[in-house]
Amino acid sequence: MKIYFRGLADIFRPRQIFADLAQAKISGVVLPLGAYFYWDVDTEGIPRKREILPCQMKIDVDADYGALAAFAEPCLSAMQKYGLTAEVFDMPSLGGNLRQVKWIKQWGWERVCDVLKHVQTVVLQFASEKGIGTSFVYYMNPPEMDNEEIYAFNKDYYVCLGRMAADLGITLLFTNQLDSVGGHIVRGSLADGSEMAWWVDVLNEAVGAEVFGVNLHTGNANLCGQDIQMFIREVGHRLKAVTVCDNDGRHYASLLPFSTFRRGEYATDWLGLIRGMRDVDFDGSLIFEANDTIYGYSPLLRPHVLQLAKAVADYLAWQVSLELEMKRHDKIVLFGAGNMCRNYMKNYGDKYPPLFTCDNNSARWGDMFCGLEIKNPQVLRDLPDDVCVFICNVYYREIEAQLRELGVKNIAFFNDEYMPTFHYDRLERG
Amino acid sequence: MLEIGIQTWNSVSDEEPDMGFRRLADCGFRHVDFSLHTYLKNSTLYQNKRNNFFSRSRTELEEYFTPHKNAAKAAGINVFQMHMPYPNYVPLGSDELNDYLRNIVAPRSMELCSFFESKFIVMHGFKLAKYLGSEEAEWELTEGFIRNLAGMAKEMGITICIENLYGGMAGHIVEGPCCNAHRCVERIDRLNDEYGAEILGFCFDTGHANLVGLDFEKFITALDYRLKVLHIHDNDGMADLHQLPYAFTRDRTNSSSTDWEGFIRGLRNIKYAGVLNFETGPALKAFPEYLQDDVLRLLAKTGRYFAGRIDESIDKEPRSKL
Repeated sequence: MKIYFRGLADIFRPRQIFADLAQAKISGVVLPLGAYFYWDVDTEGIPRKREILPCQMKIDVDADYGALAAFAEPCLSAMQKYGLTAEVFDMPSLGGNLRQVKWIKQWGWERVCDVLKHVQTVVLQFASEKGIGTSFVYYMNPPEMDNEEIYAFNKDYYVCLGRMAADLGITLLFTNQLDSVGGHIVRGSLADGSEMAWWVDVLNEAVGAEVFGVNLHTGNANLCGQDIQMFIREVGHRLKAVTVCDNDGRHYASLLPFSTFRRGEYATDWLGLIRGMRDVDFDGSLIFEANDTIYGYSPLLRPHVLQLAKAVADYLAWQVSLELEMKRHDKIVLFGAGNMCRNYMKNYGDKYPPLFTCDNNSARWGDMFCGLEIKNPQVLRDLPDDVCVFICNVYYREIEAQLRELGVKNIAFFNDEYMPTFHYDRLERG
Repeated sequence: MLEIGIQTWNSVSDEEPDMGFRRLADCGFRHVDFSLHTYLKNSTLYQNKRNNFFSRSRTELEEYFTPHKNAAKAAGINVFQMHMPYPNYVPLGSDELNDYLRNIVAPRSMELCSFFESKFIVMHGFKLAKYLGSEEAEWELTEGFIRNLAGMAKEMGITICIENLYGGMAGHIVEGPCCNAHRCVERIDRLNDEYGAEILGFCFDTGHANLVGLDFEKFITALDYRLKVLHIHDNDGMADLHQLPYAFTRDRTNSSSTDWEGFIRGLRNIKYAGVLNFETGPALKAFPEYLQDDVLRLLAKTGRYFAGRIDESIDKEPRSKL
């Protein structure tokens, strides 16, 4: 599973943040190519720059490739200096409900669309040459079109873009989108898993290649109280990336996971997310959007926050991969005969049956626990190399050291914080 | 034109059902949604407790509700739909309680639905996805509950209506059972085919849908003829307030923060032929008694407005210049 951080780079001055990322051992970033093109109106009313993001740069859209290369170069060279990689990029897009966007109405959709297509073509070519293979696209809802026209427009647009992307070896990922009703955030285009799956299939069939996939944005899903696990199960193998972003479910924010914890509960359904990703054996890209957390701290504290961000990212990736780890091993032995062992057996005992378990409590050797014999850990000295020992105890590092001393080669950590089902009864102490 | 209904909760009392039904008729309602759930409250059930209201025999319950039935008839009001007590399953509840809900409360509710000559009864699906690990596993248990009533439903000509629900997470509302229209359609069709009758349908709750940002038009259109009854009410998108439609805005455009236009389009798309039923008992409580009849009249007029917009006998008005 690959991990990236998105939205952190200051495109004009990337070095400080890239240095901090590198220091935190974060190596993957999403290249913000979308930021290089802005929408504006020149004296002749030609759209060139985005009004809501004022920028002092002027870009000649007819000389895009050269301009893009020039502006991207500081970012790319800083990435190279600090050993960062970018396999995912943002490109200029117009997603969501465009009906209320004044400048689109003003300039006319046809003209805006032509410029967008031109800009995206250039960015795709540039990204392909740099070996950056994945980007995000959005279902557009242009003004003055009914639903059937909107569908036809998007299909034509993205089949054309998809064919180009296929030739360039780039994957394009659609994201579940938001909409607004009188200021109230509601589900937008492709928020429904089955609708998303259908749409991606329609496009891939039309292009004749698997160019399109799905990026689940957890922040968007959370703002609409969506069943994230259901969405993931419905898109299935089409899920190529998950943008991991926390918020309180009411206000848009880009927070580090586990930030919104209240009265003993998280406001984001991490359990559903992990369950869903495990259900589909997800092994794609985890893209963390945590700008509000990271930039909420003083630059002096930022390196520490980034270290935490890296740890959280690694933790989530590990949790998601737990079942994949079990799948990799034909033979499994457990270490521990307590609640965690029991949770393993209740949830995975049939699917990935262990040979036996071990425990340091000699009084229990020879007993049966949850259908497993409890053995003396010393038996692990003779364990064949193709057997993996899953530690079912929170004292992971201590036990890992013990296992290494016994000569065990394959060691994994089991964890019961996010189980496929819940069980209410716990073992009694003593 | 579609007709208008309202829930009986907060409008019709056991002591004077005549007065309640007459008041609703005077204020412009032709139908009611009988709030059977008020006789065994969810707050009681979630404490793992229950009363013995539904332990009475069928005859005893029918005798109890005969004044209500007669009062409705006298006022010219039809009991178009009912609401079963909920929840139908209490997670971590005792076996005794859950058995009581399944084997006593639910069948008695069906019998009362038949007694009131109503064709539709709304039930809540089980909220167990988090415990069981998936929405599919949760539905399996809900379906088992429905199957327990399916024979009665077929025999009595009643359609059990599942409803889109919500849950909570750290004070934030999230989707609950029956929020995926496509899955509901498949399940309704499958069960109806199996039983050779419309034993299962859907109740679309606008307030619950608004809380989890569902696309009203898409959802209703997907349900099509399977949509049998409605719970119409409004909220601020954060809490289940059961207030009057159009009561909430979120920004200075002052346009409604609930997609009533999508609601109207959806019902128009499917040529909805049921009752426009308001689940707005709490809204009455929000207003002083002095104003409550006016609230009821406004609700009825809102219903007529919806009906007129759906059949296009009323045009969408331009926004006021005020």
